[in-house]
Amino acid sequence: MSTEAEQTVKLVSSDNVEIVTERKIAERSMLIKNMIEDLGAPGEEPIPIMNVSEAVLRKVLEWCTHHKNDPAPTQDDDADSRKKTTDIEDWDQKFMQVDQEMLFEIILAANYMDIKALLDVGCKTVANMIKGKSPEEIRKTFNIQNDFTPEEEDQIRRENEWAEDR
Amino acid sequence: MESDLLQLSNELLHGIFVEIDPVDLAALSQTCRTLRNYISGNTLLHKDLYVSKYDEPHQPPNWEQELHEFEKVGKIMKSKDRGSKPQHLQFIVDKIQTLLNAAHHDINDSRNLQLLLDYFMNPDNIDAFLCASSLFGRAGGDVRRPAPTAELQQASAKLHCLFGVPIESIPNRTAFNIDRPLDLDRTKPPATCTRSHTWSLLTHPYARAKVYDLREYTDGSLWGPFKDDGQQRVDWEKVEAIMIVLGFNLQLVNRRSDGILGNVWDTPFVGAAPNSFVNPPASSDPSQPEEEHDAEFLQIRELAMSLDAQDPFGISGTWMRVVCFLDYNDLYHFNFHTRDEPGEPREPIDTQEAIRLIRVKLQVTRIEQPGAEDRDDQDFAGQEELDWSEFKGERLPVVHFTGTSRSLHASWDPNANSRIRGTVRQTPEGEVRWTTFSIFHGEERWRSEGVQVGGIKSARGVLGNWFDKDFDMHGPAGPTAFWKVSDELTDEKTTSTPLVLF
Repeated sequence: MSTEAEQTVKLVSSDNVEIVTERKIAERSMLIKNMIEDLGAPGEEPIPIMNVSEAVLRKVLEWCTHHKNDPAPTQDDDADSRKKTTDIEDWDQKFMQVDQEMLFEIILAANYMDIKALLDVGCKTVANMIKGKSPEEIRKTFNIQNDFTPEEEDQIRRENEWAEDR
Repeated sequence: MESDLLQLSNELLHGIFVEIDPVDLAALSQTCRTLRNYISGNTLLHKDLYVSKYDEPHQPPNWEQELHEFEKVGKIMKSKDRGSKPQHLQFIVDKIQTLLNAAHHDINDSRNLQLLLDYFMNPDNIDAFLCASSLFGRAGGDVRRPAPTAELQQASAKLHCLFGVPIESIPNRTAFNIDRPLDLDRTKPPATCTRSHTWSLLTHPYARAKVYDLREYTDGSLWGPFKDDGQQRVDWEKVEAIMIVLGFNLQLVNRRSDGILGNVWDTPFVGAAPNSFVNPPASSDPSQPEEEHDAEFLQIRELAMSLDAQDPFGISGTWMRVVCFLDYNDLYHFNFHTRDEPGEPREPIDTQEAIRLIRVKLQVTRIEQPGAEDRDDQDFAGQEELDWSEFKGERLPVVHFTGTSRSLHASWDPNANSRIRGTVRQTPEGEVRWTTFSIFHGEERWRSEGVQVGGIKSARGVLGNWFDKDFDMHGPAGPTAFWKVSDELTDEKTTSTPLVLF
């Protein structure tokens, strides 16, 4: 065990709660990893995670803990390595069984904290909530108001004729 | 309360929407203005979704439009409504060609080929799209119908050729049995039932009746698989018939020889795209030292290599050729002793043909500018000026070649070894036309005219007709095919054993 693995870091949420966690866990976030490298003295100075509340930060760290031994994220994960939606692993799927508000909070946090793999899982989870649904079902799922006029609706239906069942 | 989804940045919306199925875009667009405006005209989103499901084309298409078209193809193919399919025939043929042109040559790396393979697992799609040429007016049984116009029949025949695995009979399936209650035939003895049943379901006797019908060999069609108007437009129904007959015969060869030919014409759509031929890895022993060559040899070799580099058709190399023919008495009887109405197709025949397998080695000898006059075509009576006004793309040169043909059969065959010469050129439709002459003891005897299925440098190769080079209206004549085996001209030791089969 290297000493780095046992190091801890102090994170501060947007609502000013201090959370202490293993450096290795926190460094699933490229934002934190880069900050630690910039700060030079890990563990001493608390790291502010400005856009993420305590509840969301704890949730994100739960994910990071489970995935702390995954291969290190690379800076340029490109489209080729993107897995198909069906590939969400069981643990992640359970992890994402949260209310919709939390789901989108996690996505925003993962984006802000630069945790590519968590962002992917979040996006795929939302994508799965869209797949195979009718416009009305999508509106209901995501609380979307239909703001088309009847004439517009007609035109848009024609525009999307290509996707009709035959 | 505002929707959390609509609060997301465009970047995050992109991250989510590239994970959906392309058809879901339609439902999303119809939910509200924000999403409609985000999706409509979003090139990057459509491109990312396109390349996650289809092979990326060589030239960037209109991603949004083409994605919609391909998804529509999927919807038609997956439809359970048999009766609604035929109306989409032309659309399906056009789009499958687009899918094929962009397909990766290796089926394992090609999303397009995998998708197409999957679509045609459904017998309804086979019936509606591959079996709608006029051939199936007679050979179609109860479930197949020719398309309503000659143009659509051609389109279906072409798709069948691109599919490349001849549809020989109606597959067994429960739906078919339900459609045709067995008790209809109870009046006949069981054996008769079975035979007549089987007969009507086989396509090759009808295809053979077309291929050996000497009335189809006309100057206007160059005696080959072209329409009779002198414009070298491919008659895909002729090509289809040639494919069915040769496919049937090649299977016979394989069955009798324990699969000597390996897998020919057995995987749908593979090799039916331009540039799909890939030279197999060299089988020669790399430890063999390069032979010493004199200066003259090296000069000739360099000249040949520079010609090959200029040849857009990929001619030089080793080709496998199959030639079939009816016994002359059978051919004569079939053509001149039957009373068929003029213009009516001849009766189906299942007379067994002779099959010759030939290894051909070709070498480019001369390259002429596009549209160079063809001395050989002056032999056809009343040749008209070709109309190039519809031609799209780059006009390619006319390439001449010579070579040798060696029969894989026992050497007692007087036609076993010969020389060959010919040309490859484009037709005004952009198809690749091959002309060959077989030369025995210095004398030209047989000619062939063919078209390369799948276009330039396709792995599938050339399907066509062979006939007397002086156009003897009494024959003999028949179908032929050749496909490239290797860019190399050297012999492979394993295949040099003569075949003793027939």
